[in-house]
This record gives sequence, C-alpha cells and structure tokens, in this order.
Amino acid sequence: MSCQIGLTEGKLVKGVSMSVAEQAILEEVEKIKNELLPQKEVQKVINKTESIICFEDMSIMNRAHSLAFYELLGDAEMMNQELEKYQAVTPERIQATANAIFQDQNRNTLYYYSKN
Amino acid sequence: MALDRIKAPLIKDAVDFDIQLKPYQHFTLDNGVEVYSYEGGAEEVMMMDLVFFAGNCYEEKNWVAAATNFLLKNGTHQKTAFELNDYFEFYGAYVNRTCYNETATINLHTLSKHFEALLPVVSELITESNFSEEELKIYQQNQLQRLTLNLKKSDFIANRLIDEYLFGIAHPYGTYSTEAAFKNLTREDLVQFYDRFYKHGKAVIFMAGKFPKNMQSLMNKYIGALPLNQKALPTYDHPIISAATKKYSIVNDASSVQGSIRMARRFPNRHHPDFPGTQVLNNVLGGFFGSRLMRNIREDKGYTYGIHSYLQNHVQECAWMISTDAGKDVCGATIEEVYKEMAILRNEKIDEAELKLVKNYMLGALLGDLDGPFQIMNRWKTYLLNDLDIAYFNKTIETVRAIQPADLQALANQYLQAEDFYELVVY
Repeated sequence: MSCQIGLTEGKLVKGVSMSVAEQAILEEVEKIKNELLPQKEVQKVINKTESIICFEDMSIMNRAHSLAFYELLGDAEMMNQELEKYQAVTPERIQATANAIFQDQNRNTLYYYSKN
Repeated sequence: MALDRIKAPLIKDAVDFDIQLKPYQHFTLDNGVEVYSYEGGAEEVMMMDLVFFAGNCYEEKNWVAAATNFLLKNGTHQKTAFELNDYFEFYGAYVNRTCYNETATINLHTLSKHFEALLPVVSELITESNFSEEELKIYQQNQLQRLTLNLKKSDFIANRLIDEYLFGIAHPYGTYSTEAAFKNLTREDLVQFYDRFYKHGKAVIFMAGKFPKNMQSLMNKYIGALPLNQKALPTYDHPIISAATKKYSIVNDASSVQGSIRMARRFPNRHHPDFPGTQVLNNVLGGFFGSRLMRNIREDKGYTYGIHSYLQNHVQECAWMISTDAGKDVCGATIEEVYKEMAILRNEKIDEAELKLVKNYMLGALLGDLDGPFQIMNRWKTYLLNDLDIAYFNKTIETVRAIQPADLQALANQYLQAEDFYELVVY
C-alpha cells in the first residue's frame, strides 16, 4: 500500500494573517467536497494527462524509466493500464474521493513565520 | 527474446554503428507551400512546425519580428488570448512560437486524434490575429520588467555584447532588445509585419509522428487555401561589421563576485568544408564534460563550475564561442588557460585514445539525438532550412570516423589563433 501526501502551500503578502489565508484555502477545499466539478474541466485534465503520458512514452529512455517504475511498484504491465485509470475518472469520483481524504483529522498545518 | 542475465550485454562502440538518417516524405499544398513529413513512432502523437520567413532579418524596426511572433497567440478577431490558450489546453496540446533570425515558427504538439479539431484554430493564428493594444501593452510591460532584471546579470550582458562585437549591432545576429525598442513598438508595426510576413508570407511546413488518414486534405483545407507563398520575399542585405577592438572588460555591477567570460571568433557556416572537422576539434577543446577546457579550468584549477565551447548555428555565418562564468579574481587566469589550451592543440597532436573517446562521444550523442520521429524531422528541418542534404549528414559522420590527429592539428593552426578571438569579461 503506497502512501502519498497532498500539499497546499502559500507565501503571504505582508499584512495578511495566517488564519485568514488558511480559511480561504479551506473554503476552496469545501467547494471541491460539496460541488460537482464541471465535466468539461475533468475532461480537460484527462486530456492533458493522456497527452503527457503519450509524449513521455515517445523516447526509449522514458519508456525504460516507466517500465522500471511500474516494476518497482509491483508489475511493469501497469504501464499499459495507467491511461485507462485516468480515463475512468468522473466528477462524482473526484467528489467522493475529496470527501474521503479532505477531513480535518487528516490535516496537519504549519505556520512558518519570518523573524520580523 | 529472453535475456540471458548471467552474461553482461555486449559493448559496441558508437563509431561501429551504421548510422543513417531516414528519408522524409514530401508534398506540396495547393498554394505552393511545401510540406516535409516523417511518419513514424509508436505513440499516437504528432507535431507540426509552421516555419515562416519572418525572422528579425526582415524587420525594419528593432524587435518587431519577435513581438509579432510572440503575440500571434494572444488574441484573434474571434477569440481572446485566454480562450485560445484554453482551447489548446483542453485537448492537451502545446502551441509554441519562436522567432529566430531568418525564420519564425508556430509549433503544434498534439495527440493525433485531436489534430482535426486544432488545425483550424492554428490556421486562425495566421489569418486573424488581432494584436490588440491591450495585449501589446502587457507584452511591453512584461518585457521591460524582464529586461531591467536581466540587465543586472553579467551573463546576459556578455551574451549580447559578444554578438554585437562579432556581427555589428545593425546585423540581425548582433542586435538585441533595448528599453527604447520595447517602448517604440506600435500596434501598426505588428499588424503590418504580420500582414506581410505571416498572412501573405512565405512558409514551409515540417510534420512528424503519426498522422490522421486525412492529414493531407486537412492541411490543404486549412493551410493550402491561404494566400501564402504568393509574393516573393523582400531581399535584404545585412553586411557583417565586426568591432575593430578585440578585448573588452566591463563593470556592470561593482559588487559582483563573478565575471562572465566570452571568447569568440567568426567562423564560416555549415557549407564550409572545414565545418565537420572543426566540430570534432571543438569537442576536444570544450564541447563535452570531458573536454580539455573542462578538465583544466574546472577540474584541475577550480576557477569555474563549467566551461563550454561551441559553434553557433547561424545560416549566414557562424562564430566559434567559448563561454564561462568564473570567480572575479580568476577571470584573467581563466582566459590565459584557454589560450594555453589553444596553443597545445596547435603545437601537439592529440593522442589516439582521447580522439577515440571524442569520436565515440559525438556519434553516441548523434544516435541518442535521433531517438524518435520528431528528432529525425528536426534534423531534416535544420538541413532543409540551411540548404543542406543527406550528403552533409553522411559527410559529418564520415569525417568524425576518419579524422586524424594531424588533421585536427592543422585545423587548430588555422582557427585557434589567439589574435583572431574577441575577448570579453563582464563583472
């Protein structure tokens, strides 16, 4: 089971307080949890992903790299299934996943201040 | 084929490979625009390079060619800059444009299945770009800001000045942007240049990858019906006027800890018989990480993080350039060491083992570079735009394989004379 970290970060303009900035981020996250993304926006991301994968696989070097990466994950054959997995993504699944992972108990927040 | 993993793979030297450049296909659109294509590759992707003879050698006012090329994608009579970018992005396509000296390009990379949806909008860029005052203003502001920032960097200044010394500020290869150039740009300049060199310009097209079945008819429909290649290009005459003074030292920032060093001499273009051999000599001198300059000035002396030499790839005339940034107090010593390395190449024959390494490096790099249809077409593009053919490719390889230490020494005596080099340090 692999584990990934999603990170949102921002550097604040002088005079903006940390809690205000954090609140603004949380509002955006709430939107993703509560509102269905437009199909067109999801399709765009899928198209871009497909394009990136295809262009990456053009050079022999990248193909070898991808094969090695998937073999390390357990099976080189997964290289051929990557695209289908992205294509199967729907607005509903994004919303469901957002609700599953964007929960307060999963969140750690760090405020990092400059000296003055 | 099952691999026997007990046995190490056979090592074959790059010089022993039979290296061939696969031929292109060619067709002509209804309006006379030539299309060179290379179909191949395993993925369903393709690229199209629309090359216009719209480089800065055709401009009458500084930076008009570059600004026109840049703003092609920033709005047409039907779509705003945002809508255009959003359209290309939706399909996961990349549209780039670049302005060179003789030519300027619009380049499309896309999944083959979206070509039909994208081509009409690419065509729109060369028929209906509107160069709005607003977009021009944003461009000017951004460029001015970038220029102000860049002018603080010694390497930026050095790159501009060395080209000016070699070719003259009035020559397309020697000119550069200024605050005044950006400020003086008008919408009218761009519209005129666009009309003459894009809308009614001369173009040639390069395509590679996997094409949809109806590619040729699509090309004819969206590009072949445009008023391209109808008017002869204006002729130009840009004499090269090199600076009389050869040595320069410039203080741009008195507090800087580094100096940017450029040393360069004029050199003929690719048509000169010495070009391929000199490329080998250049690699020995400073063309790769194991080069003499790198071993001496970086590895041994520690004056710099990296030092390189290369032959510029201009159409009309080139230059042989040595380029590095070094610590302020060792710039003089660095220059001295470069001249020492030149003298060694003039006075001593390179030993066989080093030459073999360089030959293998060059042919290995060439093999690596020809990986895939885009790279194959790119090489053809360079050749076709420089009026070269397959004979040049074969001759280059033959030269790399056959050249002898004595040939390199003769070339060094002809081209690596200290007094021929311009020398510039910007602190």
